[in-house]
Amino acid sequence: MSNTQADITQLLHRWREQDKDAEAELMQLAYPVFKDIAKAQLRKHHNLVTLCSTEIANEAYLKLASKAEIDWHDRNHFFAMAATITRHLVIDYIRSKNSQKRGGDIPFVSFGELQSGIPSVDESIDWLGIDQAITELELNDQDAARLVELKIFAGMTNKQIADVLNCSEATIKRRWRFTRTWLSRYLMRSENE
Amino acid sequence: MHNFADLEELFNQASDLDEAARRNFIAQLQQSNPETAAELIQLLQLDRQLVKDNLMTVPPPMHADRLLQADSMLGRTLGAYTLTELIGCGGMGNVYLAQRTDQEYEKHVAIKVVQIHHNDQRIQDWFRSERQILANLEHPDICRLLDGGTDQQGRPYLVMEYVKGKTITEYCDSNRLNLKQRLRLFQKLCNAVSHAHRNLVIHRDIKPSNVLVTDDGQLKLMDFGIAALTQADADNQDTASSILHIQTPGYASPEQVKGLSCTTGSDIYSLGVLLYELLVGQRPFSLTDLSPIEAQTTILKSTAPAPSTRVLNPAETADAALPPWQSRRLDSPGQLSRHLRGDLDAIISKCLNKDSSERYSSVEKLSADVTDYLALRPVLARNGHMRYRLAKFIRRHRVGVAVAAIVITSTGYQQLQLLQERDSTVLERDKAEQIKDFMVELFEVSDPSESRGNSITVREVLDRGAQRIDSELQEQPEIQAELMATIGSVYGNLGLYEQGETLIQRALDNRIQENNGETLEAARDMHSLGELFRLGGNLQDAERFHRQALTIRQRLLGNNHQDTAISMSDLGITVFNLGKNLEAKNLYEQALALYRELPGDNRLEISSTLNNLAQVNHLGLNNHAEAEPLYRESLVLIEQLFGKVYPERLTHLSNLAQVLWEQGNPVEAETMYREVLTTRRQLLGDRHAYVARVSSTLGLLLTDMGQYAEAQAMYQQALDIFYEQVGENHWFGATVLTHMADLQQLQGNYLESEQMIKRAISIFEQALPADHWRLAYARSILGISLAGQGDYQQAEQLLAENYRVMQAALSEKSINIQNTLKRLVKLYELWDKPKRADSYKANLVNRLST
Repeated sequence: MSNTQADITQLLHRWREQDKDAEAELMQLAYPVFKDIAKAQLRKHHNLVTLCSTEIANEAYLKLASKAEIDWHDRNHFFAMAATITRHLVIDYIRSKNSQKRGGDIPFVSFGELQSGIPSVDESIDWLGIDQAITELELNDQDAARLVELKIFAGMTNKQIADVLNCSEATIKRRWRFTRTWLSRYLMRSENE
Repeated sequence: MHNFADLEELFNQASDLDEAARRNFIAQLQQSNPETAAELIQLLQLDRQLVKDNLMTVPPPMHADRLLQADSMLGRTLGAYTLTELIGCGGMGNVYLAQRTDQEYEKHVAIKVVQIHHNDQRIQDWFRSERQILANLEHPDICRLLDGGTDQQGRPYLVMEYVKGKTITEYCDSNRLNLKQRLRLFQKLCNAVSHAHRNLVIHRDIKPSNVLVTDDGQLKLMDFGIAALTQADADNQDTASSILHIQTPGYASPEQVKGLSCTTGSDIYSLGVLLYELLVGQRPFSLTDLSPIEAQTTILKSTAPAPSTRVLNPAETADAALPPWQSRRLDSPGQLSRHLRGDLDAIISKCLNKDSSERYSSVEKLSADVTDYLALRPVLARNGHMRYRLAKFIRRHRVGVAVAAIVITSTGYQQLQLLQERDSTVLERDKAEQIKDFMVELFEVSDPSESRGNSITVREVLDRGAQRIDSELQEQPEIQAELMATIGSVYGNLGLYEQGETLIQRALDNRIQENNGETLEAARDMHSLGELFRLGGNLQDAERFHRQALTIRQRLLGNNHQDTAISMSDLGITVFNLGKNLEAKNLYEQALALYRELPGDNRLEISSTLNNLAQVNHLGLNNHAEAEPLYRESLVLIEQLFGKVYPERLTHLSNLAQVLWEQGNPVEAETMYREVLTTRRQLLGDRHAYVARVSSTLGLLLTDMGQYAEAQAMYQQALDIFYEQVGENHWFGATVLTHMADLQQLQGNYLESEQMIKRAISIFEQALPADHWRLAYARSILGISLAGQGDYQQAEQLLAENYRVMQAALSEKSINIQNTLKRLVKLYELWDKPKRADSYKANLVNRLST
């Protein structure tokens, strides 16, 4: 375990330095941990499929990172990474659900809380559309893509996001206003097509 | 895709401009780059909508969609109305101003087209019935629902009274109302909400924009229950809840945020937030700058600052949209704070309690407290606090407190025992503490409120608890016994009688081993066992245990004690079920007298005992005249205590319905039964044994009214539930089979009815004493099955014999006797012996006319 902790601290530092390889490694390290925690929570709560993404992220953080060595900047960065992982979890879940239809496994994570505090997956939200939009944004404006990911999948505040994206809170506020509008229209269009 | 960065730049430039400059800016862009201009216009339009719903962190695709839809709707007609103007675009759909097309008279209405996601027949049906309930909600302060229907796309729409007014907060501020005026206005709102609650309608979305005040001061509560209409749609999509799409988080109660079911308590919470805002000028929590998860955590975990302190330190992130304080108030913050401190702080904090059971139990109580405040009387929210806490503690840890209470009463006996008792008090307290910890630990992973209509979680917790008692507490037999008894009772509450019986029986055995079983603890276990056996259908054992418990209690507590009264009354129920009517009546009357004398508020006990007494008179002794007023008195008490949606009230209501039915008023009875059925389902879900009982009774009534098909459906439903819930050998199911057999006979299907009734009889023979009237009744039905197939002699023998058995147990006027008489008539008609038939017929007619 202490090995992992050392690894993750180092990886987080490297990741902050924009090291692409570090990001991939981090993900690889963290994804199974997230998944396990989500499953364990589900077992604990039996049939209550109420899971909280922030709770999972918190627990994962405690598991992966040693508290002493990581300062709050890293914590924000960690949550930022959690957003990416959660996004993958959500999309995996939606896809598997769509392929299984009914009678499949209990979903191991519930995503409603990811977007507005609703326990359970809100399927009126076009998650696949959001994922697509982020992917498209990534080609045009990486920061904007990240912004959407952090807002929607990590529920981070403007302040936290500003810290992660290394800019001012005012910029985040301003950029989000446009980005969410753009996103709305994007989803609207894909709905009409 | 257009260049994202360019578009963002243009968007930002345009947003910074004022309206006129922006138009100019766009016009220029249209010249140079019409395509981008079109895109920008769309984006700016969307942005306006998103900013308006400033809590929307996630882009709501449906909203955008609807905004564009709105244009195409104008000028269209819905029913008798033409849509003239878009006046709102909320979370639930667009609202249009509309006018009657037929020009009969000039009338403006507001029409809300509800956005639903699935065009499902069930939703349509549900919507229609729910609309009916809303349409009946007549109150001067509630915006009337006038009409409704479905548009060409299958979307439901609602036609509502058009109200032109300001929101309650704007009205108060623009008229600079003082504290008293604001409170009076708030009470008007309370009256409206309470009227709805009494009609079983929960608003679910009380917020200033739903409470309008017209210029002449008329208050109108809007959008009643509409949140529920769209909720049904969300439920239908298998998502637990989409509440936050509908509920504005600023006013949503913790349970709504968690996606649990709404109760009247949720409305009380929202009223608390609204009162806070009316008095303070800000909401309890400022959520505007928070992410959704942070907002949720705040609602679930944070305690709002007391109004009196909040007015002195307005939150930093005060809503910029609100005009400055001075322009809205007469009082200075300091003056206002002094008014708020104490009572109003307490009233609001009681509304805002995270735990809905700690809020006001009804809107009337909240309003009464405001009245008391205005009249300078002490308010419930303050002086009831300690008592309430205590009551809640008792409810949570019944075992621990029961133990403590026993110790306290026994200290009164002799000075000499005092020392000893004190020691044992310490001991008991430790014990109580341990028990409490054990239970709390068991339950902490599973919140029972989540298991509504789904006892699996609780059941698993209990099973785990039962196992742990065995493995962990062997050295502490007393605590082990207490816990077995406790968990056993909880099993019983869940309808798992056998599991409960086993555990409590073991607890009792333990106690009898420890001492001789002549203790109050043992009596309590006996009483619990009696109840479980009674509910599980084993009446003989139930009677035995109830008698034992009553004897011990009378010996140790005397007659003048609550527990003695409870024992009497529960033994009464048991012997009544066994057909011992006179003894039951006697026990009930004794218990009733005790309850009326005992100190404290015993209205609940009095009410249920009245109901039981009425039942003996009605069903056992067939004394309708005596029964009806008893039922009515008990019903009044229960409504006083709990309002209309209360399980006990429903029991009493069905009993009253039955008396009315027997007195020749089936139509009124049917209405009452249907209310009972609907409310039971609402409270317990569709698969509960109580639901089955009502269905079965309603089946009987419908049979009586000649509506055979619907009756059959009701019976089948009841039978399915009983089989599922209590097994196929319980006499509950057998009773339904009896009714079904009868229904088959009425339709001439004698062979089918014979099979059914024989099955019922064999179950009754196991469960009931040989001379019980139910058994006799079933056998008399078999008689007709045989007669229908030509076996007249055996039929006559069965009917005559069992008619006599029933006459011994029931009164002549009871439905069951009357039915048996009808069967005798039928037998002789089938047999072609008109003279004998006539003699019974004459009997029947005579009896009905008296």
